[in-house]
Amino acid sequence: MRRELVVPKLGLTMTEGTLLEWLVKPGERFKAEQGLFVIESEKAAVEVPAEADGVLLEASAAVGATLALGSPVGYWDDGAANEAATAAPMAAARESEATAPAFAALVATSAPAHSGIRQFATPLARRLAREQGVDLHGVQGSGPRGRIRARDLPSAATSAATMAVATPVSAPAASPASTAAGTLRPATPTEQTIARRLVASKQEIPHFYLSVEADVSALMTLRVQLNEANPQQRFTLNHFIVAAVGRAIAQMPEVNCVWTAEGILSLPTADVGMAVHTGRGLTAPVLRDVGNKRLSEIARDAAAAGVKAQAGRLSMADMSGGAITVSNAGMHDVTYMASIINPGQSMILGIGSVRGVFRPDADDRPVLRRELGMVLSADHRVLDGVTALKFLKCIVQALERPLSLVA
Amino acid sequence: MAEPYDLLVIGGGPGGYVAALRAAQLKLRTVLVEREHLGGICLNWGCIPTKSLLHTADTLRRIRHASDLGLAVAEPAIDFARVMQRSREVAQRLNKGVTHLLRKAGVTVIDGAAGFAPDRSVQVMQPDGKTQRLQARHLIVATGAHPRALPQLPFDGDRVWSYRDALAARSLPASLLVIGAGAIGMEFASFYATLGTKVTLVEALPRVLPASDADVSAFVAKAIARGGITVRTGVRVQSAEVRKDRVLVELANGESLQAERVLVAVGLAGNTEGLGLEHTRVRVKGGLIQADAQGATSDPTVHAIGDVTGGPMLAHRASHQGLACVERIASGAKDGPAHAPLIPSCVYSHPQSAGVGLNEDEAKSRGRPIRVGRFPLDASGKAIAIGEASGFVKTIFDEASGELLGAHIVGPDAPELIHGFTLAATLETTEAELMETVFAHPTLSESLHESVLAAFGRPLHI
Repeated sequence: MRRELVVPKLGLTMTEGTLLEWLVKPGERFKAEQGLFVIESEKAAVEVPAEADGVLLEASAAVGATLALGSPVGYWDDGAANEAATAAPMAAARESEATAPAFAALVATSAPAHSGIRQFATPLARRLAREQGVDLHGVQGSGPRGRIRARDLPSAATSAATMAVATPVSAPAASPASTAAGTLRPATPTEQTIARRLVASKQEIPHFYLSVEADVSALMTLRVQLNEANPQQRFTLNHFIVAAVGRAIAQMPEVNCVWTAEGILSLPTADVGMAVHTGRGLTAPVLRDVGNKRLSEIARDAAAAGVKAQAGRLSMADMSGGAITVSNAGMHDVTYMASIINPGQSMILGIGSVRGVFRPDADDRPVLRRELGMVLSADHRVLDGVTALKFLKCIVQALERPLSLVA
Repeated sequence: MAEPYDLLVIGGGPGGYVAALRAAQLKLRTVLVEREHLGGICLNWGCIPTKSLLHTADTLRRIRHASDLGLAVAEPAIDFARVMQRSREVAQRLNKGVTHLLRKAGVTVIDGAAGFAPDRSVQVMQPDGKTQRLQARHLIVATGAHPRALPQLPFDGDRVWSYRDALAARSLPASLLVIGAGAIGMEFASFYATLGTKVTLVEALPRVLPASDADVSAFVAKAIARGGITVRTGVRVQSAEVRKDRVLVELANGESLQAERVLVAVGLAGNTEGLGLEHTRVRVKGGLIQADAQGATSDPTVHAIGDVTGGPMLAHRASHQGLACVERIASGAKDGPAHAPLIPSCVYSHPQSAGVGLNEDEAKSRGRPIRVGRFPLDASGKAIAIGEASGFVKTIFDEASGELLGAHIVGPDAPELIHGFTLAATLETTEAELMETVFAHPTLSESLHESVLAAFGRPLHI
């Protein structure tokens, strides 16, 4: 049955969205939960997953179009029979009785099952579609007046349109263009969105930065002990840091606020965002109520969010909220990382690598410590330096007394 | 400086002037700069004047065979000066036509040599020595190509000819050595041989018309040898000596040849020199501007079409690319699928030949099963009736999909007949529609139908 795809509501304040990208082509089959298209709201770009298995019939909205909530972007077939689908082939069959058999086959396929609108397609495209079981209705034709050609079928890459390919033509425009000055590649819609948001954040938010080192010697030892004690439950350093941030917010709820056009908004729960690097770029799912959760619960939530992020299935709700994000670059051998605050938040904590360093003890004798470099980027419209520093010290204290995080 | 133009076209050949006409239709303020002749090589020194000469040769051949048709005609006298003069007149008439078309369309035409200045404006050196600076939002480079010289036989306009000299000969040479058996070499070999010159054709590749289907090459090679042209393939020119009255040439296989004149037709090189392309971001590789089927280059405002972008170096391909390029510019589209259209290629020597799409070797190399149909013209009623029953029609299909992959014709009016297949393939018809189509009888075109039937094992007249 022919069904509509609409712009979903991705956040409380969302009224419209921009279609950034189609992830499936008309005529292509997809599975439930597979991403169909990417919608950008004022906050982020989100993949909209399929609600069930089906075939994309038509991508009616163009990439780049800004659409109101609930407006249709395309149509899909859920595979269920409907009246129109059974009626059309019968009409075609009647017609074929009066014509030669070879011709009848062509007439039958040129009458689409899904609507009364005639679909223009070349004979080769019709034949290939029939053989491959592709529904031509909704395939975007590249020929004159939208005529569907063989190369427009989803399988075109592996089939047909061979004559055109045979003509040798150098095509630098389709691939990255190289010049003496370098190689130019157009930015993908996702890259453009990320760029826009970062520029907006860096230009609008008056960032200031505080950097400290936390002594994580005790924490590293505790982590090893905990992981050895229960191999089923693996804690990462990041879990402890997220937990420490959550505890710090719970202790200092006054930092848990963000700048909005209407005023400074205090957030009700100690939510903490967690930057996740995926094949499609950086995303930041937000873990809920971290301030009130046990370390094992935080570890479980973080793992689930990570899996979802890697699969590209984070919803807008998964990524909204929270005043702070933890961005851990420790695995990349860096001492300090000063990050850009995610739009909509007021802080980001950049985490560096754990370093073994000798520090003087009380008697000025060198002692080996394991230190973690941290840089807190904060929005000066919401936080002053003293408050932010106090907050950062809370985080350091929690990390340096790790038992408090497990208790 | 005046207000910038929307479009500046450098070169008034079949790529450039057609692009300018279309741009004017699309209401772009357009200026075209041409350094020599509107209509380019095609109209002035290529396609058109050679067709005039070859028509003379065809008519002469028909008169010679008139006795077969029951007409007693004496061997006609050849007024060579008049033959060449007519060819020039045809070119001049069409050149005026292009001038008129551009004026009517409102395209500004400037005579002179154009080049990019460091500030990316275009500087035009006019024939009177004055320079003019032009600015445009978009530029199309359509400067064409020039004949490639052989180092051992540099062009001298007298003993060693380029095609241009061959079109302006003052007398019919007693003997002519043609180096290069592509379309240009073949056409001049055919023309001069028919008029009575003793012609020897030398080709470095293993066969004449190397870009054609192998069956076409083999058929044509046999036919021209029968017609009196000496053919040497798979051999290069080793050395040459230009004397006062003749040229001596030694081939790599040790054979010595001599002729009154030599025509070097070993290919074309893009006109990219002296354009100031280094002030743009276009990429030039091997003397050719890298561009896609719609003329887009790596510089977003500089486009390039036609021979200067590489092969196939054919006028109709340049025109088509020019249209596609202008339409993309006018639509404001940044990019888009630049699918290369199907481009037929035609050779007007005797026998004529034409092809579109893949040849059989290329089709086989795709690694998927094909079906090949051949229909000989000696089985065509019309061909026999007009006394031209020599040649064939060959079609190549993808076996699984029935897609027409390629078609090749040798015989009378092959360049006219090929369009049946070009149209069919462009519209993606399969063998089913071609078989369903009714072809009129008696025509040469029926042979197209028979060839398709033959490809699927059901020919009726062989």
